This record gives sequence, C-alpha cells and structure tokens, in this order.
Amino acid sequence: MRWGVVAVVALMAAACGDSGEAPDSSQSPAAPDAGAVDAESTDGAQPSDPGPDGTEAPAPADRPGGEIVLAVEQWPECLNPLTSCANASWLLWSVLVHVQPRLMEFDADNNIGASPVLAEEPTVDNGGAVLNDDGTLTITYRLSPEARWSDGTPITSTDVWFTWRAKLDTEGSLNTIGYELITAVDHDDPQTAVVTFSEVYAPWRYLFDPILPAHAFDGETDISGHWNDSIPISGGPWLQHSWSPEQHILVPNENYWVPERMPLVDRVVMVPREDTDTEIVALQTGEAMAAFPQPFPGAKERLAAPLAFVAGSGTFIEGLWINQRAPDRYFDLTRNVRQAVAYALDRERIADVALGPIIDDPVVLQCAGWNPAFGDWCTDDFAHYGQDMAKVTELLAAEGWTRPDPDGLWVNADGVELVLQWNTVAGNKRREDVQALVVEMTRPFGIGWEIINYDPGELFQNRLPAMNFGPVALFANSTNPDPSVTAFYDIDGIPSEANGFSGQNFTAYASQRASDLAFAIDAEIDEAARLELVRELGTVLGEDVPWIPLYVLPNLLAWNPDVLDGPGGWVSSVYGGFYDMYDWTVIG
Amino acid sequence: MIRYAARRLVVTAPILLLISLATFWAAGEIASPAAQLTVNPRISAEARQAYIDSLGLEDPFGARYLTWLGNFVTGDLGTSLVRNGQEVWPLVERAMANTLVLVGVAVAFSVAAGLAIGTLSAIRQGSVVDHGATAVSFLGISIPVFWLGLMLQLFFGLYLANWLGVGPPLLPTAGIYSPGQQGFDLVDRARHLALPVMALSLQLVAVYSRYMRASMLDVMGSDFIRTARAKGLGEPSVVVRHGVRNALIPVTTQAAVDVGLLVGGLIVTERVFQYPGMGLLFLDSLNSGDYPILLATVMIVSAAVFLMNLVADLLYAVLDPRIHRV
Amino acid sequence: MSERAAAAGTADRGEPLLSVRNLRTEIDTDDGTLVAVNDISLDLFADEVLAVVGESGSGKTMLALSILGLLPGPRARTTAGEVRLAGEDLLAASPLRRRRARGAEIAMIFQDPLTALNPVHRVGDQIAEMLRAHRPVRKRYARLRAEDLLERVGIPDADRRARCYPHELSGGMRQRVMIAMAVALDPVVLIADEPTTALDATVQAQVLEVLSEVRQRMSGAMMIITHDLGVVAGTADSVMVMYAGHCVERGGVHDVYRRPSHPYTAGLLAAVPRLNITAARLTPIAGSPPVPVGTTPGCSFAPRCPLATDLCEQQRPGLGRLKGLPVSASSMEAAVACHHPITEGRR
Repeated sequence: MRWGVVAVVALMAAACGDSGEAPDSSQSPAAPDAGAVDAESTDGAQPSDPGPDGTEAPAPADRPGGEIVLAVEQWPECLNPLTSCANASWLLWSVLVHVQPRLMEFDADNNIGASPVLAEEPTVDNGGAVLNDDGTLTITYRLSPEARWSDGTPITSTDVWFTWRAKLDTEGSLNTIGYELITAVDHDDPQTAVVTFSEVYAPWRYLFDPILPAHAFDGETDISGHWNDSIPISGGPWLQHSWSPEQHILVPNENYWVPERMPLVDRVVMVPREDTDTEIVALQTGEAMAAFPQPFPGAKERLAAPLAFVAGSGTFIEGLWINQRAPDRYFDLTRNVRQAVAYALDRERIADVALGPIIDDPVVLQCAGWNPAFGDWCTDDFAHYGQDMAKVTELLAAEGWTRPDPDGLWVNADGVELVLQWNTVAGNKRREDVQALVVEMTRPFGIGWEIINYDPGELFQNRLPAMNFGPVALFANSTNPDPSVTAFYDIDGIPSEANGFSGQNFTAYASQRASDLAFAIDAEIDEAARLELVRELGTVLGEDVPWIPLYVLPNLLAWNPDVLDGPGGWVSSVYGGFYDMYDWTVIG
Repeated sequence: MIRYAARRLVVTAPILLLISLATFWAAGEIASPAAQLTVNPRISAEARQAYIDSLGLEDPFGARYLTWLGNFVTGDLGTSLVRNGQEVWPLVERAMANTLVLVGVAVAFSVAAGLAIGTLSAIRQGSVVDHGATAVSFLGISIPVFWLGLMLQLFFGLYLANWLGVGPPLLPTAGIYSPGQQGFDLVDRARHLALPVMALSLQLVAVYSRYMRASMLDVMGSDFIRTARAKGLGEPSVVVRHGVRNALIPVTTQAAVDVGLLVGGLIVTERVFQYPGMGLLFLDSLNSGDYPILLATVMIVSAAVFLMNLVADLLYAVLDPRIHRV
Repeated sequence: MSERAAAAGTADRGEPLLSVRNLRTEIDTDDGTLVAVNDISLDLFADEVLAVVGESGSGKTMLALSILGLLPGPRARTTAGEVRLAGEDLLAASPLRRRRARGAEIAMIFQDPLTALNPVHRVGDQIAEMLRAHRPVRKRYARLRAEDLLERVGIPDADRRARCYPHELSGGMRQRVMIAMAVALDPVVLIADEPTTALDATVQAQVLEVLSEVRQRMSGAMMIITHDLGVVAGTADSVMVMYAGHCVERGGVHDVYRRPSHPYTAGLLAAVPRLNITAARLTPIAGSPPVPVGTTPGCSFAPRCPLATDLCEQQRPGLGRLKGLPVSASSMEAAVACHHPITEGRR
C-alpha cells in the first residue's frame, strides 16, 4: 500500500511540475530504488552510435585518456543515497549510478538482470527465489568473488545486510518499501546473502540498488550523517574525486573488476547548466560535451547538426483519464462510450501535435495507463484503436445513442448530447494544443467536448483526490519499472465519500477481474509467469478502456560530436543518458 | 557625519523590521515548512517534533516570527530542509561572497562607464557620441537580461571564436571556474566574471548614463560653472571638479533607487550564467521548497537593497555638504 | 604686474587697458537671432571705473561675457568687433591664451554669489583654486593666500570661514568671497556684474565699500555693471547707458548724472530717489524693454519715449557728440544716440 502513496506523490509532482512546457524530471518518480523512468524503447528512436565495445580493461597506461565535461541540468543539493537527497533524479544520473554497485540492474532497455556484483541471477529455476510453505519468500544472492570496493575491500553479504539495516535505520530514509518486509539477511558466508521476506514480494528484484559498504560507516546503520557532500568509496566504474556546488569530478575506479566497463578517459567533470539555453550554448561552444536535457519545444532543431542527439522513451506518459464517477457527467461512461471515444481518436496525429516540436518520431503509447511502459511489460494492448466510424456507430447505437443530425452530436434516449467535460492544467501549451486538435478530430464522429482547465493546485490538490474532475482529464504520470499496479485497479480503492476518499483508483474502474489480476501480479515471483499476468491485465485494460494512453514524453541525449564519441546507447535508461560514459572517448 | 549616519540607521531599524515581517510572511506563503514536513514519512516522530519545535511551527504567527527573528539576528539561519540538515549559513555565506563579487564588479563598472558616457554625452550634446550613447542606452534599457545573456554567450562563446577561427570560446559562458579548475585562479575567475558582469551592467550603464547626462546638462548650465570658467580653469577641471562633482548628487539618489532593479537582473543573470550566488540559491530553494534557505536569501537581499539605499543616503550627504548640516 | 605697469606707463591716458571696438554678439533664439550686444565700443584706462547701466535685458551682462569669452553655449557668439586687453586682441587669440587671461588678467564678480559659488566646495578652496589655476603654487600656500584674501575683503575669522561651504555664509559674506576670488591675482580688469543686486539692502553698502577699497588697492581698471544708479554715483568715473544692446549714452559720471541727454537716461534717473541712494530699486519707465530680435529701422527706445517723433520710428540715431557740452574728463568722449537729446539742464 505504501507503494501507492509514493506513486501518487510522484504523480502529483510530475503532474504539477508539468504545468509548463516540459515535464519536470527533477522529481523522483515512483520506483522503489531506481527512480522510475519510462523506457519503452523503440527501434526508430534507438541510438545510432552504441560506442566502442571495450572488452579488455584498459590499464591506466593504455587508456586513451582525456577529460569529458558534462552539463547537468539539476544539480543535486546533497549526495546521501538514502535520504531525501535521493529524491532528485539527477543525483542518481550524475552521481550514484557511476559510483555505487547494486545486486540487480537494468539494461539499456530497462529490463532487469544480474549486475556484475552477482555471480548469477537468483531465479525460481535455480533455487535462488523460493516461496516457502509458510508464505515467506527467500532470495539467495550469490556474490561474485571478484566484486570489490574501490579501497580493495571485497563486496560481501555483510554489505547486503548492512544496506538492509541502513535503509530501515537511517533517519529520514526516503523509501523503505520492500525492506520493511525483510525479516533477516543471513550473511554467514561472505559470498552468499540470504534474504528472507515475511510475505511474498514480487518486486524483490528492484531492491538493493544501491548496496552500501558496511565498513565505511563506523558500524552505524543510520547513515543520515554520512555521505552528504562526498561518496568516498565506490563500487562502480568511477570514483568520486570531488564534489561541490560548482562541479563534480569523477576519475576511473582502478579497482573496478569489470573490464568492459573500465572508463576510457582520465576524468569526467560535470558542471551545472540549469538553464536550457545556457546548456545548449555550452554544448555548441564545446564547454560541455554532452547533456541530458528535459524535452523542450524546438529541441529537434536546436540539437541538430553540428550537435548530435538521440531521443528515447522517457519517464512520463500522457493520456486521457476517464473518471467514471465524475460529478459533472451527463450520462454514464459505459465501456461502449469509452471505446467509442478511443475509436474517434487518431493518436498518431495527437502525438505529432504534442511532441512534434520536440522530436520527429514521437512514440504513441499502446499499453494501458498504469501498466508500465517499460521493457517487456508494455505491449500493444491499445494498438487496435484508431479512427473507425463504423465501430463508433456500432458501439453507441448498441446503447441507444442516435445521431438525428448526421453532422451533429450523438444523443441518447434522454435527449442528452454526447458531450464530455475535459479538464487539464491551464496554460500548458502542449495539452491545450492536444485539446484543440481533439475537438476538431472528433467532430465528424459526433463527440463533443466541454473544455474547462484549472490551475495545477486546484486540479491536483482539490479536484483529483475528491474525484471531482472530468469525466475526461489529460494528465501526465510517471511510470516505473515494476508492474506493481494494485493500487490503481484495486476495486476497493476507488476514492469516495464512503471510504474518506482514500485509495488510488482514480478512474473509478470497477472491474473485479482487473483488480484480481493486479493482486496476482504482486504475488507472483516467477518472472515469466508474472509477465503472463501483466499481459493478461493489459488485454483486459485494452478492452475496458479505463484510460486512453496517448504518448510517451521523450528523453533526449545531446552531445557535440566534434569533441565526444560514444553517447546515445542509454538515452532511455532509468540510469540516465550518462550511464555508459565509461565507454565514451574524447576526440582530438 | 557619523551622527547623521547613526540617526539614519535608527530611523531605518523599524523599516528593516517591517521588511523582515513581510519577508517572513511571504516566504511562509510560498514554501510552508509544515507542508514540506509531511512529504517524508520516514522522518521519526521525535525528529519531526524537534524540527517543529526548532522552527516553532506550532506557535502562533507572531511567536514564530519572533523566534525566527531572534535566531536570524544572532546568526542562526537554521538548517536546510532539503539538503539533509546542512547548515544554511555556510551556503548563504558562500553565495553571498560570489554575489558580492559579481555585483561589486558590475556596479563599479556600471558607475564608471555610466558616468563617463553620460558626462561625455552631456558635454558633447547633440554630437555623434551623444546620439550613439542615447541609442545604445535605449537598447540597454529595453533588452531583457535573459536574452542579452544568451546573446552574449553566443557571441563570445561561439560566433566570435568561429569568426576569428580560434578553437576554444573567447570567454567562458557559464560557471565561475573552468571545469576541473580547483582552487583560486584570478585569471580564470575574472574570465568567468566577464559575461555576467556585461549582462548585469548593460542596463545599469544605460540608466546611469541617462541620469548622468541629464544631471550634467543641468549642472553645466549653472552659474558656478561660469564662475569656474571665468577663473580660467581648463575645461577638464571645469567638467570634473565642478560639473561631475555636482551632477553626482542627484545621480547618487537615483542610482540607489535602482539597486532594487538590479535584484531581478541578478537572479536572471545568475541563472543564465550558472553563477552560484544568492540569485541561484534563491531559485534553487524556491524550486525545492527549502524554506529556511528561501527565507534567509530573501531577507538578506531585501535588507541589502534597503541598506544600499541607506548607503546612498549617506553618500548623498557626503557629496552634498548642504544636506546634513541643515 | 608687467602688463599693468606697461599700460599705466603709456602717456597720460595712454593705451587703454581694455579696448572694445564695434563688438557685436548674437544669440539664436526660437524667435530668431537676437543681437544682445550691438556695435559697442568702449575704452577702459588704468584706475578708471566704468559703470555700464541699463535695465535687465539691455545686454550689459552679455557685453561682459563677450569680453571674457564666456558666452553661454553654442547659440550665443560674438560675430564682429575686437576686444583688446593691453593691446592684444583676445578674440583673435588662441583659446588657451584666452583661458589664461581669464581670472588672471580679467576677473569677474557675478551677480548672485549663492549660485555663482560652487555649493560643494569650501570657499577657501574655491579661492585657492583660482590661484592654483594660474600659478604653480602648493595647495597649502594657496590656502593661506585665500585666508589673506578673505581677510582683505573684511571677513573676520578668515581661517575658519575659509573652511565653510557657501551655504554656511551670509549673502554679504559670499559676495566678499567672490570679490576675494576675483582680485586674487590682481587682474588688469575687474568686471563686477550687479555685485549688490542679490543682496539685502543693508549689506549692499558694505559690499560696495569693500569693492571700492579693493579697487583702490589695485591699479587696474574696473567695470561695474548695474541698473542701480546709486552705484554709479558713488564709485564710477564714467558711465555707459545701454538699451536693447545699444549704447545710448555715455560720458563722465557727473555729467551724465546731472545732465542726462538721452530720454532713457533721464527716465532712469527720475526713477531713482536722489542722493544717498542705497536702497533704490529701479522703478521702470513705462513699458518694458524690447527684445532686440531682428532689426527695427528706428530707435529702439522710441515706443517708450515721451519725446519720440516719426523720425525716431524710422531712423536709428547714431552715437554722436553733443554740441555745447563740455569735454568730458572721462576716458570716453561723451556721446548720445538720440534724435531729440535733452539739452537743457533739468535739475
């Protein structure tokens, strides 16, 4: 349940932050450890230059060398990886992912697997993940004997235990979800960490990112007083040389044990460039070699040659929420009506209008709203919806709607016209453009709109929690790498006066089947079986249309190809576009 | 003189208090610390209570204000809400030092350039110099700082270097040191100061030169200028000792009033040039809802602007012997 | 000293210290070109005091400024004539030479000492500045000299007063400061422009006395510009009456005072209480002085003149000697510009 709380906080942050032109990626989205980043990778948006494919660890002597300078859009205010400092995505992207090890890790497409710390991935098949008869869950991590910290100390099961304790004991720990369910971490064997959960916890893979060096905190498991302005010990490719409000310097971690991730340059300097224009100028002048900017209108022109950029799927998705219990509805938002609306939309065009100013090939989102738009989870549940007059007519006629004037609106048996009130954030140009387009687009289909937009505060703080919006609203929300979506489809979690407006099922989607599937997804530890359940839920959602997904806001990674070679491969990664900078080289 | 200053300061104190009250209220409206506290459920009840007690959040507004004021006056600016309990004072101190350097250089430059241009315009009234200065001033007054900043970055960072065919940018476009630079380096620091100072100064130069021109035209028609000439003084002495010296008196007051105008430009300039001063700290704290820092920056800047007016008053008295002896 | 000695050494009247010939000064105004000084000639000999008399706007001050080369701004300029200082034509001299002459050789006392003194400098410094502008003296010496000068013009407690700002002194004191400044370098010619006009009646006499003392101690000549005939009576040797830029009458002070030939002069004198005239302000003659823009064919005074005839309206009278008048003892020949001069002794 905690999950939901965090998710909705993130949602608010995302939606509120998005009242301007571009989504605010500074707020940490909902992922338990990693920060949720969308990564529905598409081939078209994939980077052209994956960078050199080093397989040998370059010794300092034959390292090509040089210095990379990177522009950071939101400078972290402090570095502690567990406290509210970690609320900033940029702490993850600019610092933590480069210096901290984790047990499981995402690949460039945000699918999860074993990190170099592990000798093998715990699975149900290899006995690494065991659901016990008493309902408890045991995960056995086998650590790689090569894994070691930058000071030479091996990474052991004690560090796993310590991380669990620190997560729980640290004052102001940002996120303890999952760790609270752990009853013990057995660390008798340095190479084996046995983690026991009090109950089944499907998203266990996302825990222990990062893991902390137990020997670095003088035995204190409350680390809130440590690592606020430096992270002295690394378990990643880079070692922090210095960090200040003005710059962050990373040097290769000579004790890193993964040859293919040994940095090729001598030094990386990150500098804050919090203003988009300034950031781009820095790229153009070569003062900064790469940047990971928020999407902004005009990006495709301003980041074009002589600069280079790639676009990938980003953290935020936007779509139409349908509030089936909207006080301002004039008729019931039945499944037929919802489907009819979906069949009246040309979502390709909507995506083009919304994101065309940013990138050339926007990604139309095809999986259900709360179903994560990442990796393998997102399929083509909504792909069959496109403009189809026959379908609209069939669906509406079946429920007694008629169209007396063939060019007019549909009218139901009570004489009510098919007009939907539609809310979004006032002054958000992208969303208002979408509204204008859709009004035009659906006119031939006999569907009308009553557009009433609100300030972010009014919409998200007053109306959304009280279910007093819509019946249609255009919101952004962040997605996360795990398909734990119970809160949003829990049939008992529809906010209402009766339950004191608690719960997160903001579409008032009352489907027992979807609710059960969502709970089942949370209880399935076998990844393959879980994927099946997610796919099944996706199909149900595609049929029931509680939400109409529109598009994915892009991630952009830009660099100056005159001075830097290598970026692009991780543009969609939850770890940020700089993750693979160990593979980057400077030119000239 | 000292007594005059003391008297002004005494008159000033209640106004400063009013400013602090307004600031305290406004900052609370913008970023309520109580609202911030609810975000993180993992802060222990004791820690939360300790924090609430330290800020006096449960007290009535008046008591809260007095607590804060007492702390502020004794140099206790509290700890950051967002930056994991970092002390506010070191952050503010560092930002203040950077801003003082920027503003100091910009104001010194603006005053020098503005006065020189204004004087030249006035004594060459109607000349090409005068018309040119007038045109540039109007540009300077009407160009938004952020746009000017960006153009300066492009010009000195990109176009000029490209045009001259040199590799690196002529002037760095952001920051206070080159990436990787560690420790103090005067040349590097000065080079990074150049563009922000230009951006911040243009408007001031424009405004100051207009004031100075008007004031000089006024003064140069005075009887005592004729007297000075009748004494057989050389024109430079007439202009400087008698003209500029007297023209400064009204300009000083105007210039002080315009210091407030500088604050907006400062925030924009620091943002565009990524200059880690009070403006940037203010923006960061505003974005992250870091109430103690927000409050400290706004209060210090308001007080500084106000004190600048006081300084101008004193300067006025120094410049014009007729003032404090009346 | 040398110039003055040279000037004084020339035969009886010898060469005049200041000789103005056919001086013409024009000012551009929005209504046209104003001839502020129109064909004025005068000679000023050593030890002589010349009073230039006229209502405000008659061109007296412009005459003085033209002599000093201090015309205000680009709109006013001297278009004809010469100004010879001990024989040297200043109008033809280099700007540097003219600047050097100002203050050192021709000094001027202005009408309102409050505005004529710089409000932000101490009076001692302002006097010292005069010295330092022309002589290579140390600041300290210049200060001491300034104090001496202040004492000389009758300011008690001079060392303290020297440190005062102008606004801290009384009007009379301020004018004494101006006088001290003007005589600091023993100028050949001292021009005093309405030196008492801005002062209280009670101090006017004192200032006049100071001026007269100062004049006696210097061997140069003085030109007093005034509309106050009291000043003329007490201090001047000769008088020049100006009207609308023209010289309408000139002559020895006693002659002009006793037997004015020009109706305008007569009017001026009639407006002044007789003898012992310290507090007199000119009661204007009916009508107001014309603005001398453009050229009127006739006498400028004709519209106000009780004796005007058609001739006066049509033809400007030239400046000529009056028959029957005794030869003036003054430096300048008595002359009047009037078609109908008053010839009988009126008083």
